[in-house]
Amino acid sequence: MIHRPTARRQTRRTSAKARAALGLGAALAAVVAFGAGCVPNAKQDSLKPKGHYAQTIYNLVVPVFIVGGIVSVIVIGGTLYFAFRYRAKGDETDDENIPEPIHGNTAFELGWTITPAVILLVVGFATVVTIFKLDKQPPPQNPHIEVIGQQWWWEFRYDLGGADVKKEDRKYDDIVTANDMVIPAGTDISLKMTARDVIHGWWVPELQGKRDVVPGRVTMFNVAADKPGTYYGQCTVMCGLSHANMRFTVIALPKDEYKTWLAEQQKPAVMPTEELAAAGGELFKSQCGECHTVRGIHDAPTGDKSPLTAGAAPDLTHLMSRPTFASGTFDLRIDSKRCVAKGLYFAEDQSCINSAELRAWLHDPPAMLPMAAEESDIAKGDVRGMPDLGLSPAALDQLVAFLETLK
Amino acid sequence: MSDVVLGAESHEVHDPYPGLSSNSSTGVSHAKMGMWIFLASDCLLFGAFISAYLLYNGRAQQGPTPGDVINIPFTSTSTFVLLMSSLTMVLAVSSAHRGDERRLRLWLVTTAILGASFIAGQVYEFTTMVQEGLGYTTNIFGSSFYSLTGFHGVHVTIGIILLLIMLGMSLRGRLPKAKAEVVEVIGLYWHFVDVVWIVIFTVVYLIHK
Amino acid sequence: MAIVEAPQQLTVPEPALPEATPMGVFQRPTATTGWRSWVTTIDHKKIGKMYGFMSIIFFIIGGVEALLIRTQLATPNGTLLSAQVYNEVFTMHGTTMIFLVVMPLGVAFMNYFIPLQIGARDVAFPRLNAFGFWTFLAGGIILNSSFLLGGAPDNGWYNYAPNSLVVYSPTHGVDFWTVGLITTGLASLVTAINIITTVINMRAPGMTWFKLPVFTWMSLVGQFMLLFAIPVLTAAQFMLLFDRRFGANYFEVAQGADPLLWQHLFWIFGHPEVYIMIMPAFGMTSDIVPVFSRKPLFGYKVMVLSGIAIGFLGWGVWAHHMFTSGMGPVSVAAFAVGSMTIAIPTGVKIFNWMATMWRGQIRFTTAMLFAIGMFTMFTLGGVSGITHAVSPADTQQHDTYYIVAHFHYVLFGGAFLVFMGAFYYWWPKMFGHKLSEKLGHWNFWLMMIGFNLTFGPQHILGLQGMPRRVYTYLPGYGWELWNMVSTIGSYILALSVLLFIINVVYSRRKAHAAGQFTCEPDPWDARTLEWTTSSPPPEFDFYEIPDVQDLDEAWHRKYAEDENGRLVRIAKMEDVMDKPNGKTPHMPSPSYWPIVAAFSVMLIGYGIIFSLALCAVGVFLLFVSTVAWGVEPSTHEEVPPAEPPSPDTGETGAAREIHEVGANV
Repeated sequence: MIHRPTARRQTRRTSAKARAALGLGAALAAVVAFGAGCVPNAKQDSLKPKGHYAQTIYNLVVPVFIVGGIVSVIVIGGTLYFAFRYRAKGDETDDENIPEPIHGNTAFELGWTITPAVILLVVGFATVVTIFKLDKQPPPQNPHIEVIGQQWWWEFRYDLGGADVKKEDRKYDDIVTANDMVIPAGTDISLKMTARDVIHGWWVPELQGKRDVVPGRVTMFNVAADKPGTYYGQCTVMCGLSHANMRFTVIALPKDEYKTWLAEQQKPAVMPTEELAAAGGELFKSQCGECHTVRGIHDAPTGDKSPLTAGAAPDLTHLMSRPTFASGTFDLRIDSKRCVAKGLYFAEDQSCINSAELRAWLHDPPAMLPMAAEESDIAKGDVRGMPDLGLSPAALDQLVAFLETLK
Repeated sequence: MSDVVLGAESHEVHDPYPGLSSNSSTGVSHAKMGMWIFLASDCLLFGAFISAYLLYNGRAQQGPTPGDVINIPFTSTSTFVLLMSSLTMVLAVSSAHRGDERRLRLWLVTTAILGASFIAGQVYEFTTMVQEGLGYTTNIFGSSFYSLTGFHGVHVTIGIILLLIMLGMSLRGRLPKAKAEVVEVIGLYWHFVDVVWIVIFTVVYLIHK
Repeated sequence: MAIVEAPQQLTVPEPALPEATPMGVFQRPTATTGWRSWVTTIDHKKIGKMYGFMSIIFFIIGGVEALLIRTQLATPNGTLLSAQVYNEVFTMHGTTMIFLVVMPLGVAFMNYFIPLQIGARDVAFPRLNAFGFWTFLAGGIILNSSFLLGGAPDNGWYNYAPNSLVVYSPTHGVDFWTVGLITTGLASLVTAINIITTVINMRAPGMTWFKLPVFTWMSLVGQFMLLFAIPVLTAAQFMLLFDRRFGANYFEVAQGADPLLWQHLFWIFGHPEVYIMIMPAFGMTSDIVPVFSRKPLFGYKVMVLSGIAIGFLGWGVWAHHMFTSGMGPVSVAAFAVGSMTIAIPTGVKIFNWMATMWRGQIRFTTAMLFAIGMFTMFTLGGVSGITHAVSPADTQQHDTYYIVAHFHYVLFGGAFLVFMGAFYYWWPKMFGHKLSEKLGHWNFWLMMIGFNLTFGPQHILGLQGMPRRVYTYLPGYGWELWNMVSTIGSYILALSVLLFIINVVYSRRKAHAAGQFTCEPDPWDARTLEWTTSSPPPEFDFYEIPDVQDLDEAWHRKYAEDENGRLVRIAKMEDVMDKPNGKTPHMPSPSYWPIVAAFSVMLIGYGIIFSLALCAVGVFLLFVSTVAWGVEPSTHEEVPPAEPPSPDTGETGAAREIHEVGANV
């Protein structure tokens, strides 16, 4: 039973304080919301969905944030109110006015058991419905892309024939690319995901939640972008030295441009005839060919035959069609309006290529990104990342010239 | 037996360490309670290894498989030996409670010998399997099999050492009737190790792929 | 003296005349002051203090690591730490804070106060208690020595396979992690057995289950969870150790292994672990809030039962750490809904704390401020927890700074804040003087500001897509501002910790300069049994084992209802406290063997990493110390004057041996 307290204070004054406390809480929430919303160029903002999967998640989580905010304000505001309202006079205890020993109140306690339970029942129901909605597979005629993570880059394989992920004997009409995944806008894409060495996490916050890629397991996932554009993502599962640098993009193209892209990507490369680039091509075969493939020119050994722990390095056949290199860390095009405006096939214009950083990368990759590719790793036949090949300046010129022909 | 240990109602007078041993709120001595709690915990250690074994059962990429190396008649025999040791352990505990130190020593020795026979059997079994090509690193069956049964073997070995320590204590007259509970508590551990083996035997030997 | 002689007698394990002098072989040390008294002590209060001291030392180490992390991330492209060093630092920060700070700090208070709260003279197994402490310290040393011995663990506190295998983590770091945590796991296990047995078996007469102080209750629940969680982690760590050191195939994908095995085993431990850490904090808050609200805890039974409910539910939700692992929608849905149910008993606790303040007479001592800080900040952590239980939302939050913010609100805002409060609350009982309240208030407000500035912005960073465990980030993602704010906050937080240490030193000097080594038994007008004994308590805690009549026994000795049903003070604690009664209870003597056994465990640990020969030495030493442990007498010969050592095998010897069965383990 609850009795009226023997000591009373002015209730009018304190209810004003309560309102002030609530106001303060609301103001704090507003500041945080403003802080979250106002930052420009948040390229990986999970609160700005650009695809319907991300939108579904967003629609679920925002009401939960609001309910959670209200609960927080009630608890913190209520506590502050009680703290103020029932404060002792001075620091000493007052033996004249010992508070009523209230041991509990069944009705109240039932109330704050059942109310959260009901709220959570609603949240739980919405959650379960959303889980199954997100899990629904796109129709089989939609594009299938295999996503394969390894230290410290992403491979994307376009399964144009609809074959299964374990198929080993691939033909050149399947597309293999790295770090920049091109999709048609407005289409649900089916992803088959796995990893070659350790667990990585695939996440493009504006398009979809994240999903781990696990070696030895294949998981199905979906992604879609409402509109054409570039969407940024990165690895989310701690995967070693360059975990922080394991970035990638998803590039959504209008459907007709996507078809052109597919056709371009299926073409094998041809050995350049120009002298410098041709020398670079030969150099590529001898120096880079142990790990890298350029279809039509050189096939690298894969799997156990590769010196790499993961068993594969990025396929460079159409390197110059990608906006970035080295795990999405460096732009392959010069950051100028003129070059950016040229769009995806910017590499037609040689002057737009970021040859300086490309050259620096080829000169000493571990200096530009932390990788386990030192001499000792090479000696063990256990290379993770790109080693410093000790190329001469002349060799670097040849290689860059060759790579610039891979459009 | 436990009158002296457990039943001291008037804790202040006769007990030099009131609140430490003789005054248990539950009537169960601390040692026995502690052992039960430890065994509850140990269940989960074995639980984890058994789960891992079951998960990897049949997933080995290359042989030998359980069917190639497991010798069920042999291990059934050693299982029987281990189960018999539980019986002799019961006899040891009851001798201790009766204060029959001669029989206590007899049953302790018998239990230890039966336990040692089981371990000898395990050593023989492991040796044979290694000769048949199943090393610890050969495949995931090898790793999970040897780890699981090896952990159990370590438990039995610790049990044998405890039995021998009790034998030594008894020979020096340090296991009088009043301390019969020591035997009982170690007995709990011994029975637990046996029960765990029944589970492992079933999982590893009887239902393998 | 015997102190010097006793270790030499080790070399002669064979007694000359065992029948004649059953106890005379291994003497027990007698020091009660100086460093020897700490090294050999089996007194739960001294062990509790040592746990507290070492936890704070490790907290400072982990805190420095945190500052390194925050300094590195203050700006994009930070260059203070290399990627490898950063990975080592954040791994050690998490591992240290969880296993070497929050867990042992809870154990420090449990060790000191559970026997006092239940009216016992020590824990059930005093030597095992000492062994637990020294083993914990050994594990902490093994872990931290990795920095000096070729590289610290670098794969995160969760150490997911297969990135933990030798190929991907070639230094000995992960071995140190594995061995160090198996060692601290052993310490936790024996401590859990000890505390559970103590609470179940050693409650004072009349201390029925529903009269137990809530701190004891919650600690008991937490230790039960630990009892079942730790062996699962230990098993997983053995598997990893065998893979790394002996070529086993538990996590070799090429051999058909499944990396999710590690995740399941780790989180079956890892989620209960969260509650293991928070349970003592729940208990402390439930003890502190009523004292300074001058009201009984609102809904005591509901508080206890909700704690037990959390203890059970905590086992069914581990896979909510794996929502993004691709385990299928049915599992995800089940674990999502399961995780939400935990919010219900947790919410009940928070509302009951609020209701305890309602119509109270609230004194804003530092302890009370920290307790209020605890449950308000914990509410924020709980609410963000609900947003992860909504598993589709978790796919946007998992492995981002939003999670980092969430668990710091739970573990720092929840557990650590009230541990600070518990220091202020229980300090006079432990050390005989209060900490300065003035500095304490500064400490509290600085800590609240620093904490919220550090971890509040991390919510925003996470939602804006900043992953955790990254050693750097590029400009242009919109993360610059909040990272800088967070870094500034972390330095304010560090300042508040410094203020606490200053307060400890300052208050101690001030009290000792004034000749104050003891203080009144009940400086806060408190409610539970530990306040009925002197401050600090005598070695044996109570002259007379209390006869417990009520929940909040201390309070009911001081206050009663008058004829009108009004609560009035009837006594001062000084009048109704535990007083000398002419009898001095005998406690078991200190012992060398717990620390020797713990040292041999450490040798075995280093041996597994470096050389099996070292291992063999450790095993031998462990065997010797176990035997010595078994045969040493329960007290030093000189100590019990009431029982003169009998020259023959008389009743005294037998009676004394009986205690070895229970107490002397």
